[in-house]
Amino acid sequence: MENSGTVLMPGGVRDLLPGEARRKRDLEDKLLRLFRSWGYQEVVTPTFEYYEVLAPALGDMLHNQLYRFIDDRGQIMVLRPDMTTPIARLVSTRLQDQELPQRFCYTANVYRRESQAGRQREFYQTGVELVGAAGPDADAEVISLAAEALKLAGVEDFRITVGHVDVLTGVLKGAGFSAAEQEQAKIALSNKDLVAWEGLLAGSELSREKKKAVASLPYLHGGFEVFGQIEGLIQDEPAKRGLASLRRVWKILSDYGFREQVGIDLTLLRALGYYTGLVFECYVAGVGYPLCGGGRYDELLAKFGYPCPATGFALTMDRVLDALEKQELPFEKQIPDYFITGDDTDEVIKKARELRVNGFIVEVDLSERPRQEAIAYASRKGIPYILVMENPEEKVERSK
Amino acid sequence: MTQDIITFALPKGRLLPLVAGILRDAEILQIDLEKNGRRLVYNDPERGLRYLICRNADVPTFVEYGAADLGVAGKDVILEQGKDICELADLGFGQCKFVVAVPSSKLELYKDGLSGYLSHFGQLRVATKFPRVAEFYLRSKGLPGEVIKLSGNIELAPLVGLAEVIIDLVSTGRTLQENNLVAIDEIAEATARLVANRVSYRVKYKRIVSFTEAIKSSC
Repeated sequence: MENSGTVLMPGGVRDLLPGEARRKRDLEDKLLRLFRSWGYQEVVTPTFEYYEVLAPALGDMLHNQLYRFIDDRGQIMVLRPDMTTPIARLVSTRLQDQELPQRFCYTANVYRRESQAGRQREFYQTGVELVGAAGPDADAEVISLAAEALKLAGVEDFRITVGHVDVLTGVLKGAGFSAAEQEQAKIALSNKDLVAWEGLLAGSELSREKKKAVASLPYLHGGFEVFGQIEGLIQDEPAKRGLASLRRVWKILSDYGFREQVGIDLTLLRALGYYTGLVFECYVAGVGYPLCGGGRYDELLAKFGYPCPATGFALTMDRVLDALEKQELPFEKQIPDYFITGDDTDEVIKKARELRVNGFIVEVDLSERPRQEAIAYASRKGIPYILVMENPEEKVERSK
Repeated sequence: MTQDIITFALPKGRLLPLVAGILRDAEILQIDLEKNGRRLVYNDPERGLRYLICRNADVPTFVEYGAADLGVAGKDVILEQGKDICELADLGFGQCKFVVAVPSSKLELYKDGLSGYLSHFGQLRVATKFPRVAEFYLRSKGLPGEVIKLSGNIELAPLVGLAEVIIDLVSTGRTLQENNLVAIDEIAEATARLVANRVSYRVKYKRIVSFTEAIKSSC
């Protein structure tokens, strides 16, 4: 296609205009302050790193979505596809000697190749990683923090769904599915392809009884009441441990006051390959994708030579902002408080500095235009106070 | 509140009366949808329901983005688009299949399977309207091949040497026969499916599950 004077933008990236950029920045500031108040410290990692360092730690999906390039020394580099992996690398290589648990937070743009139209290729994540705590209390802390974050952001009526990989595996194993069938079942269930799930059940050699028992698996949704139903479906130890930790997480979330927002769904499996135990996602009606996702990744740090349990989550800021926009929260437009013009440059600068120090937004006139034009410009912009610094005395006029 | 409204995306045209019939039997649809109307949105505020009428091929898009909570789309469209949506039920109608077909004159070359067939040509070009399905098929068989996307009359491609193989959707198989083509493999059945947005499925779970049950028992 010939570029005939128009400025082209690649798909999947975006500009943020003043209102949007302000909302994003304000939100990030608020969230980072929240995370800090829970003891999480901000870290920053580079935008690109060596392919050979990050790639072995990534699951298939992220691996296939990497942007790779070759630098001037012939090394293969990747743009970070998430923040969890670089932070795992950072902790494993530079913070191994620190006392556990360690808490980190971040806000960063990440890059993924997306073949689908409408998916962002560069997007913004703000999140936390809790390293070196294995128990359900750590899982409960990050889920509660995610809920607090959405509340603080102003998202109304969000829902959090919690699943557990070991419990699901235990149910499938307990039913008598072969290893291959278990994998197929997980794919069908996590895609919520219930037609495929029913086909798989019908084609399997399970007894009629077992089939009936697990047929309800995709419909095991809800709160406390589903624990009892799950209990009857599992026998193996990892699944029992998983269920016990789900119960404990449920209790802590109730104590935090999020009982209404949280639900259990065993078929929730997150596509990123590194999750090992409890996983969760946050949703809001009207936004077609999860706003937030996270979970436990106990084997990731070991890939960088530091075996250490960890859990965390990331909010996808683009979707959170989308949710806020759908709630029709108006953008706060930044209108200066003062507009200062006049030929007494000394006074203009002095006054502007004084007002700025006191927290006002001050715009100084830059053009050599007639007074009336300058005042007309300021009132068009809706600036409430216009100061004219004339030599030698100062006049204050109020527009409107 | 939008929270409580459920929006259905329904395919316009020949499928619409079939889908509407099922929704009516399930006692979900209780308002009139015009047969060949130009209206695109129907509201049923009493029951908190809304219906969008859109092109069959666009249903998964409306559903994926959350513009509709539920939709009815052919499995062919779902497979080809690879959208991230939940598939809740097989509605059973719109019976057709994705098949792989070769010219009947070349059938003999096929006796060792596609890789044997391939060795006779040195290249395998697949003409199809469904490039994603074709890519996936080739990859799952471990075959190298070039997918040639056409917009219609796929049967023409092997007759004029544009492709060695076609992948197409067939219902009776008559078109294949008329063009001296033989189906050598089936990829998937492509009946109509009830699909849901992933977030709606969780946020509006109770209503969606009760609708799914009602629809399953009425088709």
